[in-house]
This record gives sequence, C-alpha cells and structure tokens, in this order.
Amino acid sequence: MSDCRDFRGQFSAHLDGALTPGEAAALEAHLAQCPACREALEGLRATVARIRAVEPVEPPPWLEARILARIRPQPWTRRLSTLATRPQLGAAALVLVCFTGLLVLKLSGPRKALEPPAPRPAQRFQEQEAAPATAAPARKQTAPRPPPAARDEAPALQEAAPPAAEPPPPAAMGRVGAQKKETAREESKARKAVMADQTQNYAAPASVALRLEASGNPEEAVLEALRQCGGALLARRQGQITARVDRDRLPALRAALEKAGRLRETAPPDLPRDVFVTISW
Amino acid sequence: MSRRAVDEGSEDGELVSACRMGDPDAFGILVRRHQKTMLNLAYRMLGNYEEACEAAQDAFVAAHRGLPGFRDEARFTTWLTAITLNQARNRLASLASRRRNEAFSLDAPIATDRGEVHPDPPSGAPSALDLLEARARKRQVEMCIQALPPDFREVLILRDLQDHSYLEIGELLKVREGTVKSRLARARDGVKTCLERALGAA
Repeated sequence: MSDCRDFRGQFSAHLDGALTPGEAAALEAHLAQCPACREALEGLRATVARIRAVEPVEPPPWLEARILARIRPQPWTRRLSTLATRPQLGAAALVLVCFTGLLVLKLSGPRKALEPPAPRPAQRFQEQEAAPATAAPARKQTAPRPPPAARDEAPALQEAAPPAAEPPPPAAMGRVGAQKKETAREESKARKAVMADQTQNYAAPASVALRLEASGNPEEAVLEALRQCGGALLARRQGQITARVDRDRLPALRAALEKAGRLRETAPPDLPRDVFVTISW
Repeated sequence: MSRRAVDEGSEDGELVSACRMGDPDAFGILVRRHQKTMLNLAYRMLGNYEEACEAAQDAFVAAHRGLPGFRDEARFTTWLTAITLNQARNRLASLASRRRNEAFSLDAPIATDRGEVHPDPPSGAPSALDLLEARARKRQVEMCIQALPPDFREVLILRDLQDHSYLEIGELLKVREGTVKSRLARARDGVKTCLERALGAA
C-alpha cells in the first residue's frame, strides 16, 4: 500500500504513454491488485478529458488586420495625426504632480505593503497561490483604452522591447518618452498616460512638484490623506509616493497634507480629470 | 527568379522564407494560420481576453521583427509559441503588479490578492437547472486551470490544450523533460482536487 503514492505520481505520464515499458508494466501489475489506484487513475483520466474539452476562444475579427497594420511602417506624420484625433486618449491624459517632502527626522518605518511578495518556490503547489481568474476587474479602474481602430500605434512601448525581454524597467520608460522629441507636448502627455496605464510603473518627469515639510515620517499621514481623497496608490518609494487622484479632490488632499506638515506646491490651474501625484520626503 | 509564389497551402518554412524575401502576403498567411492558437495560449495564461489579444498581437509583431535572425524555418510554430509565452508571462507580471496596486487601492483597502479564484461555487445552493450546471461545470474547469500557479499552468496548457510533446515543452520552457512530467502531473492533480472541492461529489 505504501507503493500507491509512488504509482500515483506516474498516472499522469501513464495517460500520455510516457512511461518506460518497465515502469508501465510495474504500474499495470500494481493496478491489477489495487482497486483504489484504479479508481484514482480513472478519476485523473476523467479530469484530463475535461481539461482537454475546454473550448478554444475565437480570435476577434480585427486581430489579423491589427497585427498587419503594426508591422507595416507608417510615416511619423501620419502617426501624429492618428494620435491627435484620439479623443479617448485626450481624456485619459494625465498630469503628473510630484509632491516632494522634506524629512526633518527620518524614521524608516516598516515598508512592506507595496513590496512585491517573495518569489514563490517553484514546486510549492498545495498553497495554491494562484493568479486570480478574474483579472478583468483590475483593468476596469485604469484609464480608458483607445478604441480598436486607433490602437495601432499605442503599443510602441512594447515594440521597443525585444521579444524575450522582461517588462521594461522604469528607466527604460523615461528613455522611450525621450525618444519622441519631435512630437507635440500633447502627445507626450498622452504617451505618459498610455505608459502609466500599461505599466503603472513609470518614472516620468513630474510637471508640478509638491514638497511636504514634516517633523517625523509623514508617510502614514500622506497615505491617510490620499485615502481620504480616494487616491489610488501607484508607486511608493523611500520618501516618495505616487498616486492617482481626481482633480476635484486635490484641494481636499492639499488640506489633508497640510495637517501633516508645511506644504509647498506649484500646481497648474487647469488640471485634467486624472492627476498623478508623487509625494516624496 | 526561382522564387515560388506562396499561398494558404504553403508550409510555414516556405512562408518564413518568403517573408524574408519581402513577400508582403506571406506573413499574413502565417498570422491567419496561427493567431487562434497563440491567442488561446495567451488567453489561458492570462485569463483575460483583451490582454490575450494584446499579447498575441505583440507576439506576432515581435516574431516579424525577429524573422531576419530566425534560421530554423521548420520550427516556426515552436518559436512563435515561445515568443507568445514570453509575452504572456510579461503581461502576467504586469497584471500582478497592477493587482498589487489595486489591492492597495486606498478606496478599497481590504481588497486582497487572493480569493478571486476560490474554487467554491458562487452559492451554496444546489443549481436547479441542468443546463446552467453544465455551463458552470465547464466554467469551473477553466477556473481551476486559471487557479494553478503559472509554472504549472503553462505546462498544462501546452500539453493538454495545445498538444505539445513533453520534449517540446521542455525546450519551450527550458526545463528538463522530467520536470515537465512532474509539473504536468501536479498540475493535473491540482485541477482534479480543485474540481472535487468545487463540485463536491458531482
């Protein structure tokens, strides 16, 4: 009976005919006198059948055209005009606001919340630390995606990376942004929005800087202030926080931050709906 | 000019060569031929159709860019699969970080990273309609696949949904065949356990 465990590890390969003749013979001999293993094998066979019966999804009709459009080089002037006539992108354009703070008394408090979890040991299976099936809700909160027809140019960002590359590091983002010198300011703004939307990992220059002078570590206070204003945290570094807040909540955020310390800022008068806020100290 | 015209019936290798020679239609044929497989690979990895479409697009664009340096014409599918897998993994990583940010959303501070794929049925009440139940059962398999850790999920997808051999999977994932075998066994067991838990004795 103690053999059962070893044999069950071979069931999967057995179903694929991937055991050596010797292994298969030993397994068959065991199955012949072990009803429990026979049942377990049938159970696995049924599971595999169900997995294999999962129906494939159909590609959207536009997929081929989109791919072919992207591999045909377009003159940059046309790209520009495509971009300029994309209202969704305009609406999604985000202004980056950078708050910087002066830490008078540096307390390096615990900073675990945003750190990525430790890499999962490859073979730890039972814990089921799985990627959630419903990734869709996470998407909904990001800025609106450009419509299919207009998307051809947007992923220029990914094209900059080689096929096998890891997601580009923040520094690379900045570089991508810098390549587009010839483009109008609106476009660079829009690109930042796309960048932020796609990666939420940007290190783009801030258009406005806010500085919080506090005696102590204002991190908790800053988080609390953002929480009050419905901010969505995007990045957190030592002495700096980036979050997205609604334009209308900015005054409230400012007021909340002022409770934590002295705030110095230069905010543009007409901010779009979404504002990226980077707070540092 | 010994160049032969390619059409929908041409082999992948011929099409790849034609692409390199500048045939404008050859790559389109490759896209039409492989887009569904690549999309499904990405879709099962990501669990999100939109993301999968983006990943498939990026994969084909990357493949097109990589064609000049690609020599092993006979194995275009394997190569394309590796690229698609890479795109899907990258997106998986960015989805995960997005979820971390969402999880930390100050609007909803109690959102957690886990739980969304909990293999419990939506409600404890037994389903009244067989049709609905059948659909739910189908959906349950998909969810259980999705619930596997990515390292196990990709082996399962490549073997059971895309029909690659152990050898090919080992090459694609750059792991030994024995590892493929054991990961696949655990992935299948994982789906089985997940289904049993979700469906009870059904």
